[in-house]
Amino acid sequence: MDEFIGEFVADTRDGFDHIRNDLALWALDPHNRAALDAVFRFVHTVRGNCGFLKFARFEHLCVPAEAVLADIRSGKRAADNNLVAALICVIERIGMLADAIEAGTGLSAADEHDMIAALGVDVPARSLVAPGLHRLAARERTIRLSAVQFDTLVATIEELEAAHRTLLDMVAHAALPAHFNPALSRLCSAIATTGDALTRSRKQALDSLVPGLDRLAAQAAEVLGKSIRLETHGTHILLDREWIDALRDSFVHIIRNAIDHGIEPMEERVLAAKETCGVITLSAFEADGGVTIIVEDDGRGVDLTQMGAADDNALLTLLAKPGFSTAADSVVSGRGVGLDAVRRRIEELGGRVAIRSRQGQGMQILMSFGRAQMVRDAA
Amino acid sequence: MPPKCLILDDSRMIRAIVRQMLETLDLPVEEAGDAESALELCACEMPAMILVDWNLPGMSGVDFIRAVRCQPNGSRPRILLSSTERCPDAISDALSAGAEAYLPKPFERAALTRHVEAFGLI
Repeated sequence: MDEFIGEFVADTRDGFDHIRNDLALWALDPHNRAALDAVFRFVHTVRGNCGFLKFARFEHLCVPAEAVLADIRSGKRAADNNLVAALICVIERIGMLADAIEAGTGLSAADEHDMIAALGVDVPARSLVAPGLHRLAARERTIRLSAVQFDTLVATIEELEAAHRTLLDMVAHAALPAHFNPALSRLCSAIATTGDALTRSRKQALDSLVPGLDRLAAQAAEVLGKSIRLETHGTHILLDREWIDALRDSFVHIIRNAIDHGIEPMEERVLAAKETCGVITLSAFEADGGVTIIVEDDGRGVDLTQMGAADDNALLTLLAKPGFSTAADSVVSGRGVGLDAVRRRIEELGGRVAIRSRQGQGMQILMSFGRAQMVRDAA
Repeated sequence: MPPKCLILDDSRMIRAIVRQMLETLDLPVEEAGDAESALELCACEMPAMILVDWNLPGMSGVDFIRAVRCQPNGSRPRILLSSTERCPDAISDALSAGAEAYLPKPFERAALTRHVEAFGLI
């Protein structure tokens, strides 16, 4: 179930954002029933969700808070200012914990025992030990390393690997006594493991971007009154952190544009015999030693003729002109906004960008790193 | 075509977990985060099974079930209500509104599979 932690965190953060106002209103007026109900609903949902992941630290905060909120709702306990303040303290901790997990930073649990004790409920002492802490701690412990230090490490490992190959060559010709072999083989395996660990430490799964993009798509869709589904395929692949950062910014531009300008309003989609819900698909795959990422929407695409572009290549050149905007042109209004930045960012890292527009059916933006054939095919 | 399932839950995490559980049973899945969009999906094509969360923003899970049961097109999806709610009165309300079974949260894959089997979908 650990693969769902990203969704859990996104749900919890969204829920917490929704009740910020209610918390403030409730703090001002402990008898505000609507605020109490909204706060209860949030805690109830987080408690239900963390049960799936067996996330003990969240459970230890949610279970007593939910019990007290339920007692207040049913009139068993009166909500005075002190109790409301104690509950808000626990609920804010739930939100902070979700933020800390997403940011990969630590958050001490030392004061949580007192926070829960302030609620005045009987919770068995042993359940406050929070057995899930070690799992959270394992996710949180990170260190920062400057790029220069990291590059020095990489260079040193490469040097070690080269020296090791030379040594093996010499050994092969030197007829060393057999008792040298175990030590040589340990050396060989240690160097390989270190090299691997170093390479992986620079990498991050594309999955880590999905919850944020989901939120972005949901918000943009809500603002524009559209219904959008973001689908992802192959996002488990690991990419260099620099690429991940560049892709995060690029996805934001591309998805916003797709929802704003690509995906048609529902009525138009119905007339075009499309599902009312627009679909944006993010697919990633490895091919030919490179990685290709495609963001595709099933919206209206672009009419090449109307844009005066001979083909997709010419369209890309046009759309990716710095500052390009077609605000006056309803067919592609704003399609180009940000695409110049996307292209520049990806190309700076040695990647390539291509687009494919299918009028009436949607638009694909392809980004590839390394020796990926897809982009050349498309271009 | 294998029977289509609809997950109605406002939690993305629950939708992702249930999607994975149902897709390993080779059942195609649609998702909705609120009852209103779920009703739209049902109006396009009524799924064979709907997993409904109790506690939803806007229209409640129970009202959604009533609305689906009132649809005139004669198609009757199997409806499974899922909730952290343990109050017997609340559960019996949902059953009288038209849910056929109740699945307490959190649940394991095996528990969901048993219901899907009992509904005759696999």
